[in-house]
Amino acid sequence: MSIWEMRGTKHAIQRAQENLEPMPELRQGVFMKLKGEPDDESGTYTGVADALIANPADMIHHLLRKYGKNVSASNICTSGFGSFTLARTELDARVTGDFDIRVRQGKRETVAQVIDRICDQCGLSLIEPLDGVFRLLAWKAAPSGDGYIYRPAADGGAVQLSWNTHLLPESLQVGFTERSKIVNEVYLHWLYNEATKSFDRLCYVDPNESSPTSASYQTKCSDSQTNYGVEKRMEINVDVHYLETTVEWLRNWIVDMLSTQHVELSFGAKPSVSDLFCKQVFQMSTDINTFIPWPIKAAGGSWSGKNLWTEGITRTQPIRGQPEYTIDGLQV
Amino acid sequence: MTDHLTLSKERTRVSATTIEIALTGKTLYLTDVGRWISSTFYEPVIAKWGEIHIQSGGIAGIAKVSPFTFEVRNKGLGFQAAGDRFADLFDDYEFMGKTITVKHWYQEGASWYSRTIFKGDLDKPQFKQGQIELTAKCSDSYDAPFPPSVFRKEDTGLSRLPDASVGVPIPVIYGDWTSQYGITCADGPEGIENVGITRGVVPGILIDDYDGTTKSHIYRVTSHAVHTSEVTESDKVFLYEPEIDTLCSLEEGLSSIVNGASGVDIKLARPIYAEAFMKPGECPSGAIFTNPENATDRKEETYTEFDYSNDHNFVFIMEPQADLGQIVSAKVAALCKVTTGTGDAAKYLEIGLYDNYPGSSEHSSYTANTPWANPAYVSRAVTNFANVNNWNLMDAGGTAIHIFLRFSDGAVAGVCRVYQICMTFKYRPKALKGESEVQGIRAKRRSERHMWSQ
Repeated sequence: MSIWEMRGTKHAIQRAQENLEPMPELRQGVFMKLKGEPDDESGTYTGVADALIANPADMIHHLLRKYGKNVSASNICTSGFGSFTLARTELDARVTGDFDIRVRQGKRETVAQVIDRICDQCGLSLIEPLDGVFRLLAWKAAPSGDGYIYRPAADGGAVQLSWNTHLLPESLQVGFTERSKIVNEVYLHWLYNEATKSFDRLCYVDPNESSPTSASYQTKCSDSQTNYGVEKRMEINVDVHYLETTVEWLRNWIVDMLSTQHVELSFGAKPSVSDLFCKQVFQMSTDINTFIPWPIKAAGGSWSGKNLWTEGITRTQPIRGQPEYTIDGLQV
Repeated sequence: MTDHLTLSKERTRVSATTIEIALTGKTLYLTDVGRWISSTFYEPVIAKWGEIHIQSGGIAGIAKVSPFTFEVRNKGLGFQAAGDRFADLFDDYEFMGKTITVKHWYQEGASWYSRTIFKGDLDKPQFKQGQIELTAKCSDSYDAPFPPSVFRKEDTGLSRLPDASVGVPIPVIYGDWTSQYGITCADGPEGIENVGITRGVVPGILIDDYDGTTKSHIYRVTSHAVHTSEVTESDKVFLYEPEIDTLCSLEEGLSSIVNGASGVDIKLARPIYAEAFMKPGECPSGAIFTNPENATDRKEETYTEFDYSNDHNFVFIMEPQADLGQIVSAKVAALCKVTTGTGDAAKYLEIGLYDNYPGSSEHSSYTANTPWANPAYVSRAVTNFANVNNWNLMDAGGTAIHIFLRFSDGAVAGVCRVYQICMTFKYRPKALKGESEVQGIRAKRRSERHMWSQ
């Protein structure tokens, strides 16, 4: 079961743990200090000529272009929704200093598997090239007033979906994510040591343990345990992190995203939503309140201002007919 | 909130979905109801549209696009190709791997506008009675194996590749693997950070274990050239001593680094075999010395306590297991805290490094003082021993290296905790004369490792 899964497929972060068994190398080895893949003379990936590639967005860009098959500049989104450049900016804005990571890949996988692992550990979403273009989104702090803490970056604001214009109302279903997906204790093993084949550091938040965590995140976890009546620990290895700032961001983000239940919904839609992207944030028009109130008690029963994001989109096309869409959405 | 996307009502009026298949030398334009769009006629051969589906794997990760499958009637393409059947095209053109583009069209006035809703490569055609089923995938572009290459003896420069390295992937490395860090402790405001105890390093893989001319060993670190800021500097190569969890930097001149298009190689001037064992140690009779193993367990939460009232020496020992070579210089770091007894700012924590202490009149010893400025808190003590001058490791007499801790002014009774103690040293390996001696030392190592395990 994926740690990130609210509903959906198995995810890569657990595979990452399985992949950390000792390499077929000398037990007592020869080691060196170095800095890895550099940018080219034009600064194609980092924006700076010959700079070290260390930002996760730049790293994924480089992985696709250098180690993918026939991926060129035209296959990479560089502006607007899904821009790799914007994702880099959002990543760096999360922490004091830069959001840098490091990767040593010595086990045979695929480029996609390594990118999946980086995304999992850095709060990133890569969208496969449905129209020939890869897009990358970094979850970020939402603007004041949105009421939620994170949403994909650079989406220009939530798309408004109207009951009559966009939806097929009779198809709407609303529910909650399962209580079993709640997480309210987080233990991250980080700073992977290539010499000892082990992790040297632990970053955690646990309401039942004294820890050097900010009090607000201890409280969030404690409230979660009280509200849902369940103590659920996530303990994972995060091998790309070597900076305390980035791993603490990840720990806090996990708490923000997984310590509460989320509203999920599914609905049919008209061709007018054909521009909607996977992972895009949308809001429902208030006329939906007449039929189904917002199901979280404390939120006052209205869908107004509630951010959701598209978790899945299916387009079906009948012969000689207009296409229809089925959209799975999840509360941000 | 702004309505960022134009979710167009116009597109529901007059619209069409088409598929373009870009074969080599010919592009096929297909749809379900034949029509002209701009100056192109789209043949009405699509018998069934498949679903186009994209699904997020979770909050983070990759949103994956499912393969797109559609069916084509096996009839002729009057405008686009001669022949009675669509299947005849397979005689003249290669379909596998060719790009298809699915577009959604809409008309405004006399003009048509399109948006690409799927783009992928054809994977597997299936022929049915009267119809052909075609499937395309859009994710093949990054399903490539990674790392892309493995070690093979037949590759240039790898003719002496050891069997253990054959088939091992050649690593790809991103990011900064130069950071230094030491030991931190949650019990106080200060830890042993930035003392030069290097841990963020990457391993090399042996690709040449006996060059008959130079007797050198070559280790490959990456399959690609790396950032040049580090590899041109000295002091970048280390040996890892697993038993004491210590990376020992090599004396300058014993290694060289090549950073080229085929990767980064470390070349060692001669074969090097080294193992060492650090064990917690000894104290005079009657002194407190609880759980001394806690100071060498690499855990920040545990500690040993010792009584420092009577100038007792508390010793940690590194005992090499083989005839190794020499220590050129060393650095010792300790993480300590006074817990009982009045703190005395005039005190010093003395860290000593002895060759075969205490009965070492014939050997050198080096001692340095670290100010014990604020004994109420956890403090770090770091001492450099720059002039050890070639102590032999495990010489004929079984020499061991001893680290001892002592307070320089022991008049005040008290107890000190030691959370961790560690050492790194610059190392000159013993020169070897030939392969027979190498084998002999390998056998000795195996034997001694067995003894230790007992």
